[in-house]
Amino acid sequence: MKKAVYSLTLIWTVSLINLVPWIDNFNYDFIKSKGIAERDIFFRTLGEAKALISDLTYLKADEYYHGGVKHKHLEPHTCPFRDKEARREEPEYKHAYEEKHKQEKFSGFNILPRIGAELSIHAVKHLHGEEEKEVMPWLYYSVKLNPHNVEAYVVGAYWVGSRLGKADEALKFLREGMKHNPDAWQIYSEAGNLYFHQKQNYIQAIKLYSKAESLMSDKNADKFDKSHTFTFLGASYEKIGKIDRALEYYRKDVDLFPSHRGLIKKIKKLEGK
Amino acid sequence: MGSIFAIARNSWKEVYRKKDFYVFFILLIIFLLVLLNETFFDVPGISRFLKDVGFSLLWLFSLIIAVTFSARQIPMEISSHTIQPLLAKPVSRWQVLSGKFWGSTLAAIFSFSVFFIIFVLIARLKGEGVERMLIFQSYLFGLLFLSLVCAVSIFLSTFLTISANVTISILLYFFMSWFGEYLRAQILFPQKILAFFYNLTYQILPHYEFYDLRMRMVHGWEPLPLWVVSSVFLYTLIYVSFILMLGYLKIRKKTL
Repeated sequence: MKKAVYSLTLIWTVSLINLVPWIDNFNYDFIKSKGIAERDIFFRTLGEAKALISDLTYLKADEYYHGGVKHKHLEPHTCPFRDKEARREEPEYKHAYEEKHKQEKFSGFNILPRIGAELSIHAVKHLHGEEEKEVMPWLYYSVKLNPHNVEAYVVGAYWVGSRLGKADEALKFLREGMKHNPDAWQIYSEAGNLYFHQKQNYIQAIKLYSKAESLMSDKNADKFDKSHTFTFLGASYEKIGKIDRALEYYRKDVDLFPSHRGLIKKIKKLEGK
Repeated sequence: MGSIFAIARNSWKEVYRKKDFYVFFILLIIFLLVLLNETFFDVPGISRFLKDVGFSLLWLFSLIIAVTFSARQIPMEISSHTIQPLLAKPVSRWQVLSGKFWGSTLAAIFSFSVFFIIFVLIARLKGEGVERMLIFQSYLFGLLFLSLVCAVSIFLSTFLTISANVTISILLYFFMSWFGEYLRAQILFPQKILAFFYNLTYQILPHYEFYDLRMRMVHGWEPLPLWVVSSVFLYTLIYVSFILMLGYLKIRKKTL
């Protein structure tokens, strides 16, 4: 009897020792084949839902910027989280915003909705100065949850580099983004912005803007995006004294926006040199 | 009154006899210490994230303790037949119900108070801190919230099993936290067909979303005006009394 127990124990132990790495290797190969290099804690906990949570985390950063208030970017002033549509149709949004708040002033004697209204926050405020750092954890976790969240990389780098003045940290963050999203022109463009504005390294800025330009197509970028890249490519060339190349990009920009008077004036001035 | 107090005292002692409280206590400390030491992009002094996540955790842990504790009070007495000698003392069914409510509420309040003290101490170590008035209001609202949760669970325990009660109580909390604002909007802009349904739902369900002052505390908004604090206090008092009365009506003639 004892012998049988010992034998069984031995068989079980040997089987387990062999089975565990076999199952583990199978899982690892499966996950690797799906394009996920490491099985991070978020993937193990949330599976594919982590992309959705990543978007929610990004929205949380937006909420933090507005003092914890969920809002639809209706206010007329500049906000780094506002989408392009809202930025371009300001008067309409402003009107909708005012209408919404007008309607929320309810009448009647029902006390419960009134308490509810007092408890919820409707005012809009933005973070200022030192407070701006408070959005960072949510942007950090947004890309940790989903390394393909390009917008979170771009906005995160903007906050760290341009608003908090930590250009090196922002570039490190963007380099991580480039590793996960080699085709995302937005990340290269943002890195170009950092080299242009923060580090004044125009050669490096040209490299990055050019890479962004090469990745842009009519499908993934609109003319506002292209215009931004052309303007800064032109400006970077101008800064290092390559006027011909600068003019080339300024002209490309004017082709997109023929009514851009300031730029036309600048081209004429550079042509006169 | 003496009987109610005696029953409450016996019930609330369970909080430190059972392991739930200790587990949540240790978990909260671990989470808060991890959050305290977390750094993002080498930027020092980021504190709202700690306050937000920390307060959410303490709120959730207190809710779980309140629900699981109050949900088992009456069913356990019935299943172990200890309710019969209790009622033979003589103690009325109303006194048993009230005693169980107070016992559960005190247990939940004790846990919440310990969690809250730890949270405030750790939150003060980093960044901007929290305004005193908001700390006071959040604490007060936490006590009111837990008394409402316990009353609802005690009421549900008069006709549901423990597991069903716990599930429904927690779902009810999340439903009101997520859709409370939506329900309010439906009351303000009523649609003819569903107006009655929305009104009924809005008036009947407990407004758990009233009590969570996390956003105010985290983002440094101004404290609530006195009339709102008083109204929420009054609302809790009325709702708790009403729902306990319903619970009493339910067990008054029930064969135990």
